[in-house]
Amino acid sequence: MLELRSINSFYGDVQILFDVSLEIKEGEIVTILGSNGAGKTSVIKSICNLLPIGSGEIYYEGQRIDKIPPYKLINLGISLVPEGRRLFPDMSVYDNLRLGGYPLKDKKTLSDNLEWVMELFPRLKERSKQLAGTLSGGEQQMCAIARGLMIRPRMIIFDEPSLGLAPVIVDQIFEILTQIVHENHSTILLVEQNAQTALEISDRGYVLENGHIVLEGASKELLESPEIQKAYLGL
Amino acid sequence: MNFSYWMELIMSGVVTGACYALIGAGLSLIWGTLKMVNLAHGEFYMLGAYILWVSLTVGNMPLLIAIPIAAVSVVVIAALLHMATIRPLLRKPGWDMSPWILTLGIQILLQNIALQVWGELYQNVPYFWNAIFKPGNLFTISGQRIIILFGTFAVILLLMFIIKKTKLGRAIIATSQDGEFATMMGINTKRVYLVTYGISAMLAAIAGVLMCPVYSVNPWMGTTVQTKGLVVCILGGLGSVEGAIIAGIVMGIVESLTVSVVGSAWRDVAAYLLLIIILYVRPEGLFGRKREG
Repeated sequence: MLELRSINSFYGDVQILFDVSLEIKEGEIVTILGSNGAGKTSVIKSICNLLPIGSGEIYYEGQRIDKIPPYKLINLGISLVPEGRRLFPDMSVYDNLRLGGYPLKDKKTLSDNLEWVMELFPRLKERSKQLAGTLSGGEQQMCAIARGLMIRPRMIIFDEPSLGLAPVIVDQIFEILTQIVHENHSTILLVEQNAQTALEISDRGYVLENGHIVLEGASKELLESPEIQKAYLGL
Repeated sequence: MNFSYWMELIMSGVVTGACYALIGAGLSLIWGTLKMVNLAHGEFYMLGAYILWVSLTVGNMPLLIAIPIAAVSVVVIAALLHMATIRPLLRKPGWDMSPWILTLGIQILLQNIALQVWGELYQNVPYFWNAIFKPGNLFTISGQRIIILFGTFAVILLLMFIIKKTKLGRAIIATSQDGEFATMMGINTKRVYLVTYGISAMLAAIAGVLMCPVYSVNPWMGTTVQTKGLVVCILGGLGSVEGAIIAGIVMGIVESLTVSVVGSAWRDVAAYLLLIIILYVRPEGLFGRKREG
């Protein structure tokens, strides 16, 4: 469904991604692991063309997407739940969610989808009038996920959904993620530092180090690999 | 000094304030979305007035055609300037400094073009409506001032409607709160930047059109309103359109009262004193959002 063919990306003159290739098939949950500064978020920014790639190709359902402007991606059914939530802080929860459905032309679809995400996250329904900036961390993450679901995306990219959240809330969030996939047959690209949980819910994984993919494989194998256990699971 | 005297002073302040409000609201919109100060804003006010004057005197057009022509021409000029000069610099390295230099350059350029084309003579535009009113015999007000008040009020209502109730408004708000991420919601932020710049220029042009019969038309008329517009914009809280509108009207009234009580030389002193006092009490401006850290 999504394929990166040996992309190289740069911040100014500094190269941060080296020949990164990866593939996500329809219905899969694929996770990208890596420590801080390994280039995980850069992979996502490259996919979204927020960071134009230096060389390489990106395909989505056979269509080359590395040259199309970022604001058109959502029309292809790709949705991003970004690192650090990036909610619009001075807007209410309701307005944030409604903005998630910005590309929807049909009012009926918009209100149906609003109802659907509020059902998934009843907490958001209670807080719908509240400004997004005043929510707790976990609620903000729920709001960001719900906003990302508003177009009923075929592919969702999650950038560090567990960052800065208490373990109990992380578990809740991952539970909801898997539920969403099973109900909607969405494809998910998950970027995580929290290797254990990410590998448990995903089908396959890639390990990114200093801008290179150093390891890839089925999540079960990665969980058992000695290198991963040592470097990311602390075993 | 009786009641009607004070009423007239306040009304005259509100009229000047309406002009500041239109300029300040535009500057605030541009600040909110593009995160830049548009030093060429007063020039859109000046161009609006000049194009109206040319349409009326040279073109012999009726007022109801000349006004839209002035507003639309200024929007077109602003949009072309935006695409040719601001867009290429937007968010590029040096963006913290480049808009200042760029828009200062545009200001000088437009002023001198106006000087070359229309000369240094002060031109006059007749009142749109030559009538004097005495509502309830309490105070007198000219037809032109009534038009300024209602014109500004209508424009501000329309602006508020666009910002609060339309999809374009939601795109503007989202872009001003997080421009990069707004693109991921499917918002074409480049177009939002262009449209907000155009809307802001139109607000300034309308102010110029409404005010020019009261003042006169000359190449430098934009400079004073530009500075006052910036003051009003800071006073209201940077990026807050409502704040700029209210601050504009307050500023107009304060100036008008100062002129009659202490003398016209003190007008600007009062304006900046008000700015200093309010910033001392509320550093984020009247309606600005407190920033942490």
